[in-house]
Amino acid sequence: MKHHLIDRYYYLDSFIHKLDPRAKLIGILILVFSIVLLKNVFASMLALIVSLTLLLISRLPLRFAFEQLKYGLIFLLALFVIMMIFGHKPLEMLLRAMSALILLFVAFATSRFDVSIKALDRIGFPNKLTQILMFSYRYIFVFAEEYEKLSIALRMKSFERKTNIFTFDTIAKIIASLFIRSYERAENVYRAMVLKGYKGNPGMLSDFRLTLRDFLFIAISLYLAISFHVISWMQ
Amino acid sequence: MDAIAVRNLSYAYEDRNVLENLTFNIKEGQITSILGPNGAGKTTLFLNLVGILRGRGIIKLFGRDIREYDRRELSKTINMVFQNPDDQLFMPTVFDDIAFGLINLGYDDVEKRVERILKKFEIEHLRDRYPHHLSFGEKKKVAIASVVSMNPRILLLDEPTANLDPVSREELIKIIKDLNRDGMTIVIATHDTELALKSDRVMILNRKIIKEGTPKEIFSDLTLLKENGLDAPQIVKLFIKLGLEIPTDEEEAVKIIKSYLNIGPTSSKPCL
Repeated sequence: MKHHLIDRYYYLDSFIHKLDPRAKLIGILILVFSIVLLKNVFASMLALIVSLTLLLISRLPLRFAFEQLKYGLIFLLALFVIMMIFGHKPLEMLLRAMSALILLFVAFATSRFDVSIKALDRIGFPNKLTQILMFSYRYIFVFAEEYEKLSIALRMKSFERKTNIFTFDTIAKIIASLFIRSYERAENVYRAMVLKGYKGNPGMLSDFRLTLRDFLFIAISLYLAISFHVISWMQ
Repeated sequence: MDAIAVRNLSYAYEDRNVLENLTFNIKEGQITSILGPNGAGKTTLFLNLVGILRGRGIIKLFGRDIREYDRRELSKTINMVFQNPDDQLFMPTVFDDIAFGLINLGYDDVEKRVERILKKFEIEHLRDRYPHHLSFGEKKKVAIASVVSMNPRILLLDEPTANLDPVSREELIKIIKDLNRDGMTIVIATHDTELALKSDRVMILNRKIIKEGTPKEIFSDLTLLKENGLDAPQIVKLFIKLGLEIPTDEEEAVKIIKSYLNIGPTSSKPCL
């Protein structure tokens, strides 16, 4: 069974793809931090334009981008409506959040996920966080396969999903069974790690090289990040 | 020299005894198979041997008490491949997984060592693959490679041939034999009696050591096997029925049959 998530198009050949993953993450994180602190609609609009431009430069298929971002966007739109109902002015929030979401998507969709994790580790992200990301990415597919197998087993026993107590009860039991399996697996994985000499640090090798292009990207990101705030202040 | 010496080892999960007073030795450089039904304590025994679980009794590796080893030393002396490779391949790529143990053990030339092991196991093409994109047979091979990369003197394999297709199974048996030829002591917990037939020694474990001996000694006692939820390989049963010596592989079987047909009594010659 083959599963792909956000890094399905890591192999494309764009300016963003060619960046050193560390430089890419640093540049994009600078932009994200700058954007979430904006307090002006015009500057937020510009930030959204920059984010969409980066998405276009990355050459990621727009349909794929929409598929990956749709749940985040639905959540933001729902939040937008709720905030409107309660008399807030949510447009700024919506623009900023959408920009940040698109930027982070571009960062993680243009490198293999394992490479992004290594890059996060190298730029000084908390060790615990990178380990959680690493294991989540490894085991999410294992659990997805187990869930798929259980679903097939249910279908083989003529189970049909309905809105009744029996359906909820059955699904609850499946989830419980997955939890128990996860717990047992976690124990075995930890044992395997100890047998490989694990003492708290994930041993990872990486072969990253910074070039002029990478420094240029960080410099442009920094320039844009400052510019957004200057524009916001001038408005 | 004894690679493993176990004296009066007992282990219990809460109030259920899983291992009861085990005493046995395993010689250096041998392949030993441990046979037993489900729940016989094979995996628990392995976890005790690698120092993950601590039961009552004494375990010595190459004459030294297991409690005197630190974790790093122990990982280089004895290591274990789990039954389910998904439990053992926890890093994002095959390369990272093989490198993980080497980095933790403090090797400087990790990359070179990983490349060497990839070549040895003929899995260079899997180098940058995600474990969830591998077949079960490939996962099993990578799991073994990731443990062998640490070059332990004793390798414990928990059900190595379970759920493998015939080709992957044969490949794995070849790997086990090659590792043993290179001097690694190998202990296999298995239900696969065909695999056990190819080892130097066989032990039947059912919470206690029921019997220990050469494959021929163990598999000639069909009643004992049945009593312990096991069965002899088809080829062994056939040869026992024919009243012939038990072969350990196909070549030996051919030799025995040929010699039987040439010099055996014609009157009692069975129809083969």
